[in-house]
Amino acid sequence: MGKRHFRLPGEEDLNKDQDRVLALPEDGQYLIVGGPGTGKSVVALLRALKYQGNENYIFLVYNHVLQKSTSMLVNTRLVGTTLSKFIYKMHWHLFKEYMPELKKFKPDYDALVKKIDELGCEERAQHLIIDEGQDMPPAYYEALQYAGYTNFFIVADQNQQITDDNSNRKELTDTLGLEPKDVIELNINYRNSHPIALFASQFYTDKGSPPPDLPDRQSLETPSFYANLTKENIATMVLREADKDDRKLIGVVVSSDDLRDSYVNNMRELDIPLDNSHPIISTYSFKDKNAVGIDFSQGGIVVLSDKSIKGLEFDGVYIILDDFRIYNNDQSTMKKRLYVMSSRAIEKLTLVSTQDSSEILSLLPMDKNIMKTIVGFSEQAKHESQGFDENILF
Amino acid sequence: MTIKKKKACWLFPTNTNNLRMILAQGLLTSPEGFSKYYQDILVDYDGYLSLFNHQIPPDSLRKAVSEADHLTPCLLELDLSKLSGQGWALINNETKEVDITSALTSDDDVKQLLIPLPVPLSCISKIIFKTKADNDEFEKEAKIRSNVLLGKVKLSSTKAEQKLFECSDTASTEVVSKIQLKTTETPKIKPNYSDIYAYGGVLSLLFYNAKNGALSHNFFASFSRKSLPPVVSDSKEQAIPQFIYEYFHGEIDKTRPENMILKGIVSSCIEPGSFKELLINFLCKGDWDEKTGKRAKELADKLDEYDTSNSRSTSEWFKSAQSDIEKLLLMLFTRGDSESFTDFNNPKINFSEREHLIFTIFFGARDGFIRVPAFIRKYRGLQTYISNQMAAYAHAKMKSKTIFEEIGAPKTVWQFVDKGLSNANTKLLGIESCVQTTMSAKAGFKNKQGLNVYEGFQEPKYKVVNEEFFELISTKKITDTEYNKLK
Repeated sequence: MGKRHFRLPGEEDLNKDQDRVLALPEDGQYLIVGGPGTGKSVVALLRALKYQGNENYIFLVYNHVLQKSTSMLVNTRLVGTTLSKFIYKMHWHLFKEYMPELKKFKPDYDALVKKIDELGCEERAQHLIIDEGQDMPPAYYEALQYAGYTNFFIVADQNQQITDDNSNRKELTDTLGLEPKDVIELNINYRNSHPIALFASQFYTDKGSPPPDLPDRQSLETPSFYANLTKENIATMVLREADKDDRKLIGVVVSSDDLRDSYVNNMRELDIPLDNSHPIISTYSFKDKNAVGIDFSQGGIVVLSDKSIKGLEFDGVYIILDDFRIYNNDQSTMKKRLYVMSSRAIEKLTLVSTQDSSEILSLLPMDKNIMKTIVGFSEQAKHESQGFDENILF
Repeated sequence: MTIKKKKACWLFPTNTNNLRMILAQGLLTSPEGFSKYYQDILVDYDGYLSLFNHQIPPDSLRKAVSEADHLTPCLLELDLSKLSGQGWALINNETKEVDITSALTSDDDVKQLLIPLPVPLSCISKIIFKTKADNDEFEKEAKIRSNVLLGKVKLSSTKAEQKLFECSDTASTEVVSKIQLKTTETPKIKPNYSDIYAYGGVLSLLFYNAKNGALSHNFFASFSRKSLPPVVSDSKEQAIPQFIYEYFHGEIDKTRPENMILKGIVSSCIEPGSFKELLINFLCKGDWDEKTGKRAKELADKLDEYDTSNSRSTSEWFKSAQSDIEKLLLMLFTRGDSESFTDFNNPKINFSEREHLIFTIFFGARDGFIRVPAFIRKYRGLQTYISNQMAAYAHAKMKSKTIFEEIGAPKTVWQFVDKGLSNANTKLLGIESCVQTTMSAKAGFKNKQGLNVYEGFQEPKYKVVNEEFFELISTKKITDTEYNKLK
């Protein structure tokens, strides 16, 4: 498989807003807000790399998959952990006892703040760089402040909240006591091509803030929806996609762990002629007790449920729509999930389904300029060529 | 008693953000040459680099940091002995057109010089910062960009140099006014920066590709000297290299039908926007005769299908390609940038050295110098050489009289391999399997106890076996660490 790595941006790749973010002083509290692909995580990572010689930096992310992906791609020692693990560890370090919880893995922040306040903590010089900061509640940050943390660099997108306990921009601003100059908006989408960003924008639900600007980067590849496929069709499409460029990472998003296991097995076992060796097919579920076994530094296929893909990006994304359901007529939640899933794709987005009708289909755009609908899958090339021709014009 | 004239120190005031762009793009240019630009004094003198001798007018420094709060000022000191030609000077408060070399050696009090742009990086002798902290910050920021390579440029912030920033508050505000510099006196032919950067990209990738063998090395060597590269005798096989030579160094032969399509491909590579979309549009909407139009449409349909469907494998598409141009387009659709092209290694496709060369040229043109993979940029001496070549190319196209001190090309990998191949280089490049050792037949030898014994002092010769060498090296990435160790 081809090697992948986080490629440092060129000077021209960073826009003037990102320049401003990177020029922020080392100490202080800052909030960077922006939609998917606006380079929030990139500036957070660059800030961490800029000060990587300084042991006082910790890079915090929402989940284990994102932490693994970040640390593997930068190919350098990056001190980091997950947001949740960090606060549990901090609590243990301070009190040598278990975290007060409302339920399993859900800290009782009021109790925590009270405990820390009673203990009285001195100011800490440590710098926290936090990715996907919207996925923690304001009380999380309050607790950290009580524990003496004063240097925060948080990147967040309120429209990508996937937990019940989350913070919006105002809450983060208020909790950290930020001045307007300390909040910087990133508006230009760099990750997705224009057609992918246009597709994702159909699922933008946040009424409180305008959707991110659509990127200029045009592409021939309008997102496609293939209906009525067999599981084997889907596996064939994904394997061929990965075979086109063995350095690329293809993300396959499914609705449940059962489907995840089924597709992983399907793709591992399917024997079709490929140019390169069979791609590595990896997966992870937050229910797994094992560490994340995905090698983000190599091309291949990663099959994940939509809850695990947050913050990640893939060269191509296949969303398998089967069994995604709208509960209690709550279209907004489903749209948010579609927004997060579709905005993971850099170059190519394909939606597939083995079914011809499903409630989620009603949420998909009908405009063929936004999404092409194709029924079935053909393995026959439309434009067959005859091979090298000496007499051909060009 | 004669008063010794103070040694001139030619300074260009700007900010560290522009400086990073200058290093990334490989040239000091006018604002239209920047893909991201923060206002500084460049906007005041169309097509010229404004340099001040020791004293910087306060307005110029203020302007350099006026666009945003986060900007940091810096001064670029230029070594003008590395260039010659015509410029403009403020001498005794009067603006005059001058021969740059004469102006520098005259006894006149030259306060400001205007040099035609672009100027190569080799002319920057020092970067001066207001504080040591600014200097340190700049180094840290450069490290987190892929294309901001400091090379041998000296960074400095001595106490005396820090005063250059303070001095400016009391410096004379007399500068060459835009009114004095009439529009007729701006360079008559504007530099085409898209072509200049594409030229830099092509040259850089050709340099890298020269590892592949004699054909590739000779093409690079000829192209960099602006002579028509001798590729092959077959006119059909010569068509693309001939076109590239004509595009950059001569006039395109419009009587050859394939040149129309090649020109469209180069334009789609160089123009801003999505290459794939520009190319498909060009193929579908070009002004073609019936036969050409039919083939162009056929190519567009194939490329669209190749890009969007997974009906067959990449190797099947390449095997069915009917021409060099079709293969080239497939490759440009297969890999998005030069870095991923240099990694291309599909076990079911074998390209010839000539085909590799053709792909290389177009990837270089599409990425331009700014997107040359970082590991190639880091090859010893390459950035400075390419920068000089781009500046020379630009001024030749502008028919300007500006000439820069020549910088020789670094040795290509093939040059290290072709003659005097050493054991160390063989090991470093991992090419042991394609090396042969020969001894002159005249030497004569006896076989003694299992050893070939030669009379007298005999020198063995080492050479690579061309075909095996190409097969191995064409899919091998030679990193900057490896290249910089070659001796």
